[in-house]
Amino acid sequence: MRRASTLGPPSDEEIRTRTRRIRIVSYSSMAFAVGSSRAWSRALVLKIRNRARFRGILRNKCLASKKKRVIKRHKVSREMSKTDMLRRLVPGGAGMGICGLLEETAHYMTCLATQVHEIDLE
Amino acid sequence: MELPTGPGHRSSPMRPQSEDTVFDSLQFGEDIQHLISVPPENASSFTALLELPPNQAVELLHSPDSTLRTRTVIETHHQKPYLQPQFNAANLAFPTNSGLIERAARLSVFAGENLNNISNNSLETSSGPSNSSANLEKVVKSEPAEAESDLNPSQPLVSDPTTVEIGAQNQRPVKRKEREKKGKSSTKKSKSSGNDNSEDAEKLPYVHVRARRGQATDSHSLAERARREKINARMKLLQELVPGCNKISGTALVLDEIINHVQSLQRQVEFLSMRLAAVNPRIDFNLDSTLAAEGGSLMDSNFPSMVMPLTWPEVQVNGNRQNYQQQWHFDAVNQPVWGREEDSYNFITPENSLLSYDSSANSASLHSNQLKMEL
Repeated sequence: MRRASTLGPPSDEEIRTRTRRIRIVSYSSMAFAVGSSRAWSRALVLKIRNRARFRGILRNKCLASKKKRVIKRHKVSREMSKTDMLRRLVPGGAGMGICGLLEETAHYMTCLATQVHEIDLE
Repeated sequence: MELPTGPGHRSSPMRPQSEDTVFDSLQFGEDIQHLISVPPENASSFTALLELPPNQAVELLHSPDSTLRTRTVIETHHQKPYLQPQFNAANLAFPTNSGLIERAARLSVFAGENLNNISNNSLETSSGPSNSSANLEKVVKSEPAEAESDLNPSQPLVSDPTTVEIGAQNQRPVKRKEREKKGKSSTKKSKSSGNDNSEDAEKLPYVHVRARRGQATDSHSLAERARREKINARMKLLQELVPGCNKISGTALVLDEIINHVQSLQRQVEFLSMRLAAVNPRIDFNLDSTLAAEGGSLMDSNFPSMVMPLTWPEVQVNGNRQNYQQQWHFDAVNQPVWGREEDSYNFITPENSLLSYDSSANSASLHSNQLKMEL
């Protein structure tokens, strides 16, 4: 179990890990609060779970396959349309049509605003 | 009694009001006067108003005028003897004795299927069924006799007596407008305009559409138009959400703004969490390691434990929750158009949970640390 360094100023690394954790917790709490009624919350919950579950496993896997890494073919960089960018931003946006995407975006935006508001209150 | 139906009829611009003079000359005008003065106790169906069996009612509709045959709604009486078919039939075919028409309209409206078709700009129809009395003006599409979803058949009965008074003031000016626009294209769009509950549209197998003048009426273009309108409605919503987006016109720029806004919000979350991390040196939150448990069962058991500390404060502040809901509902989440008001209530909970985030976070971290130790 890791303990915070009781010495003086926290190191950058610690801050970074803590930041990551706080962010994950806030997102997961937001997703849990919304529940499974929206697509983005479901996707967010799944993403957090999978990321947590696979982080250990994937680390080992990466080490093993480093030798055999295939040189990635340079992808043809196509212009990212706005809807694609929006899909990336909103969790779970990849599998939805434009209509659902817009609706999820609106709900996601309001929840994000609430979250910012609440974290800011501190 | 099956009338020929088809897309042409759907877009027929004929209004019931055009039958004014015709009907006035008919002898059952006085019957209708009688009906106006005798409100039925239990209007289980509009034909109960007529005190006639449905078939006879339809006969009445048929008999007076040959022009009535263009009313394509008649065959809907073959369907479930619920409110909607008769209402629609009566809605169209009955004369514009104002009182009767109002009542007829309201009754037909509360058949409920036309709840979506309200985008009457003169009426504030987007706020629920009580205002859907504007459906008086909706042309009913002729449908083959398939089972229609009985959309709250009890609802019309309940709200029936109330709306007779409610919509009365609304109906008159609307109808006057209707008469003025008799020959022109109607500006009312139906087909689940985004203003209204989109989930109601999904409940109905048939949505009643009024095609605009000069627009194609085949099913494909109708569907496309409906889709486009849905998308436009949602874009408008988003425009209202994003500050400063109202002035921008054009979908591309609005989308840009939306993307920027979402990105800025996410960056804000990141920045604030960094600030929290720097300010509060605390015991490391072992969320990742507890979540990255070997077994899924362990992780699943951790999640509830994680969530519980967050939900406990919710239980505590449950009393305030109701007030919060109202507040938030009107402040931030004033989109009744989604009809997802329950989501706005759910959406309160992040606030509650985050409010107590700091107080519970320590307990949560201790809790998760304990579990980690037990491993």
